[in-house]
Amino acid sequence: MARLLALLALGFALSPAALPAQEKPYFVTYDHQLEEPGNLEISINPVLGLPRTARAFLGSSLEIGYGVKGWWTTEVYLDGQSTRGDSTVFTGWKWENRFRPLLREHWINPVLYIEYADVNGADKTLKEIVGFDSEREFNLPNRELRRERKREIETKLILSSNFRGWNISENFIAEKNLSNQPWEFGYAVGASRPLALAASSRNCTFCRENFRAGVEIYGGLGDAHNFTFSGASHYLAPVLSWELPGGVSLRFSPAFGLTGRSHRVLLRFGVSYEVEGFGRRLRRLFR
Amino acid sequence: MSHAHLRLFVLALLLVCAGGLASQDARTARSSDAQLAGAPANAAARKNPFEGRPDAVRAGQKLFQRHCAGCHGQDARGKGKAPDLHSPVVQNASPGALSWFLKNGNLKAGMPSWSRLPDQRLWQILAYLKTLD
Repeated sequence: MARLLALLALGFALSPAALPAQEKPYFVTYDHQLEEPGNLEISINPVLGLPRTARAFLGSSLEIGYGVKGWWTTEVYLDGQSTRGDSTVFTGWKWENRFRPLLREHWINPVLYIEYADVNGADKTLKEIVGFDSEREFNLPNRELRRERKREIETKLILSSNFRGWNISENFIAEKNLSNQPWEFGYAVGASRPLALAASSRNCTFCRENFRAGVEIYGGLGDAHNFTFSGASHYLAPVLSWELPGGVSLRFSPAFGLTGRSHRVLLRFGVSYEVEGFGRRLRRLFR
Repeated sequence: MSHAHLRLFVLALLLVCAGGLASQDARTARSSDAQLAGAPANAAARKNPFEGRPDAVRAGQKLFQRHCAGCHGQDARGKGKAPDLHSPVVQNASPGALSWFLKNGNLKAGMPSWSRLPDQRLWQILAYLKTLD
């Protein structure tokens, strides 16, 4: 456990200085807010897993997102994990793209998501729950889990609404392992709101306007042969984000497993910062 | 990750960056002006509930520095393809039309949607913008 906590602390210590960051508090659910064009967002998202039967673990992903256009965001993830009493391993990478087909705000705003993942079976970032994902899969040692290679395509339909300060988002997930496995399905639903709607006139660190709180519910929906709620993992997760005046955004979410197949508790942390005008700076380099 | 995958990955990233770099567009300001003029009448008719309140102006200035100055400049004079917010087009527009525009953005031209900010904060930003010369 000390090793896990030390890794967690290292993750925070290595996070660079403050720059304006995105305020979304969710870890699993996506809303319709895309990266600002030309901006680069870097996030570290560790998840401390406390399963019922398997060993505790610290999964982590380094997320690098870039706003290509106002309607298109692309992100790359580098994933790894450390399991208590086992080993620390790099588990693979993912490349996701999100597109906003409707360019104006509507009551419900759709976003199309497509991701390609090349990870191994030891991946424990739990960025989404699909199919009949279970904590029992984590019982095996890393050296055995790593033997399984997963090349997956994942798609999401993201629906999101902003109303009177609230954000309500619903995601429907469909994932396909390219090695002749059936489509697996999952869902994520989130609602959040800033603790104060109007900003105060002074700069402050702990005032309510800098906090956003909400809740996420996510889980699996079986696969193409058996589309169902039952027999899958489901989680209920309060979320809290804190935007520091300097711009660094911190997030925290304890996720509680709701079924016997779920991990008992997942503690998710997130540190994000944004490099404003990254594209502009890069362009200057090549002039 | 195999070398072939790594090469594919780096190539894809470069393509994506190139796409972003090619997005400079001189038509941006004109496009935004046109969109501002196209705000629905009921949205354009809305009044700013924070108008003229000094505390709202200060709050709006703080929000502007946090969210807008990166593109429009600390003095809101505009830089790159982000327009000058002192311009008559902005200063003469109704608060309702500006609020509608902030919420919707102009995604094609690179202006993001600020619908994630509560209405109150958008009005505070507009209360500040209206104090610019």
